[in-house]
Amino acid sequence: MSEKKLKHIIDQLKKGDQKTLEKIYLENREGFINFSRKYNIEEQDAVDIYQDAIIVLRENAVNGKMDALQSNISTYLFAIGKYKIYHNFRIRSREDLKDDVDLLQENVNFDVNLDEDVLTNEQKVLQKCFEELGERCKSILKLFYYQGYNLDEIQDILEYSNKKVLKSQKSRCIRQLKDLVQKYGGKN
Amino acid sequence: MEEKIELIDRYFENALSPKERLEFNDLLQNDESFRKEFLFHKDLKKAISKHQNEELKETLGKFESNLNRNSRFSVIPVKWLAAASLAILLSVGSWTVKNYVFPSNERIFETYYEPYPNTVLPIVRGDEIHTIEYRAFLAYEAGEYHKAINLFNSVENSEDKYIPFYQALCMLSVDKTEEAIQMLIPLTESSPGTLENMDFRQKATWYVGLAYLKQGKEQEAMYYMDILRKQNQELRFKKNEAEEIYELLK
Repeated sequence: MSEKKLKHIIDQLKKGDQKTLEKIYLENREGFINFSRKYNIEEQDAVDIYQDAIIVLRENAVNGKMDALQSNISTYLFAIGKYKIYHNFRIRSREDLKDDVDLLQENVNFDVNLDEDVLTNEQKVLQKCFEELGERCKSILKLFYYQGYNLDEIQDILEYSNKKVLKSQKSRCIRQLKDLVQKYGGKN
Repeated sequence: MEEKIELIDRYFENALSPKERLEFNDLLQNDESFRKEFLFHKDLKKAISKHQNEELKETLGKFESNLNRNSRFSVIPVKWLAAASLAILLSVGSWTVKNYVFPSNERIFETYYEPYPNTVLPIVRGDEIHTIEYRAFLAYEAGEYHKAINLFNSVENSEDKYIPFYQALCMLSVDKTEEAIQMLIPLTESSPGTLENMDFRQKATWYVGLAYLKQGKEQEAMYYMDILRKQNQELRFKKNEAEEIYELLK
């Protein structure tokens, strides 16, 4: 995979492009399930692990952790999956995987959240309230907090006439969110 | 407070200058309201990530169910198809170019014919085998057409249009072409009424056309392909394929 192509794919992942994601998903699925079979992992479990690996893949892309990636996407994706298998299953031939996993941790900026991102109660309430916001607010907050765009970039993306308008819109969204949290009996 | 918000925004933008960073840390330690505000934004970031991940998980579930649906429908494993097409390619290799330019009716049939997927009763591995109908579809999917024909014969509530339809496809697959045609023709004439009826009419039309082609009855085949290629309703089953065949026969 050429460096340019790799960068393009990572960019598409950051943007949340569904086609790219589907392509990656379908291209590697069979291989991963076959791989898991070696460790006596049932197909359904393998699919679950695989899906979690895809989620981590996208999260890492969004967080810029794949920006310096040298290997190709499949290798990276498999590495995440192997890591998950290594930690989640007691397997006889763990040693096989251990080398892989060590190699990985040394060489890649790698972040696999093994606790399946458990939220605190406050965060759970926040998630619920966030989902109740209007589309406009949701997209501003997603772009800023999740995708990591700065306000200037968001101004371009959402075509705001100036940054001030965007800023006050963003703070209205935050206020709205806080009101909702209050309604749900949160502490904020 | 506005200034403080600005500082928090710049933290999330990764844009704090060294001086701002000092200020930020100082506030975090000594200003309770600032700390609270910051933690709110931090929690929000986490909550949105979670939301995004859950959304993605749903999407992946959809990819997965599309995949299952497709594989459930495919009668022949892809590997066999690949092997079969290789075998065809090899055997075709010795044919003359003429066969490509003017393919025989039989060849057109082979190219276009595939048993219609079982869209009636999804067969799920590990299910207990219950009804005759279920077993008939099981046989159909496994390509055991003789067995399927017998089982379809024994299905009781056979006023369902799909029973004769699938039975006819079994016949077609085991070279009982005339019987297949006789079963399919009434389906091509069924009243339009519901969308479902119309749907079966079109599918039946397609397979009657192919069956006539297999028998070498080009005029009859063209008649049915012509109906399909002129479809302008919402359902355009095999419209393009019918057009291609019509052109080849012309």
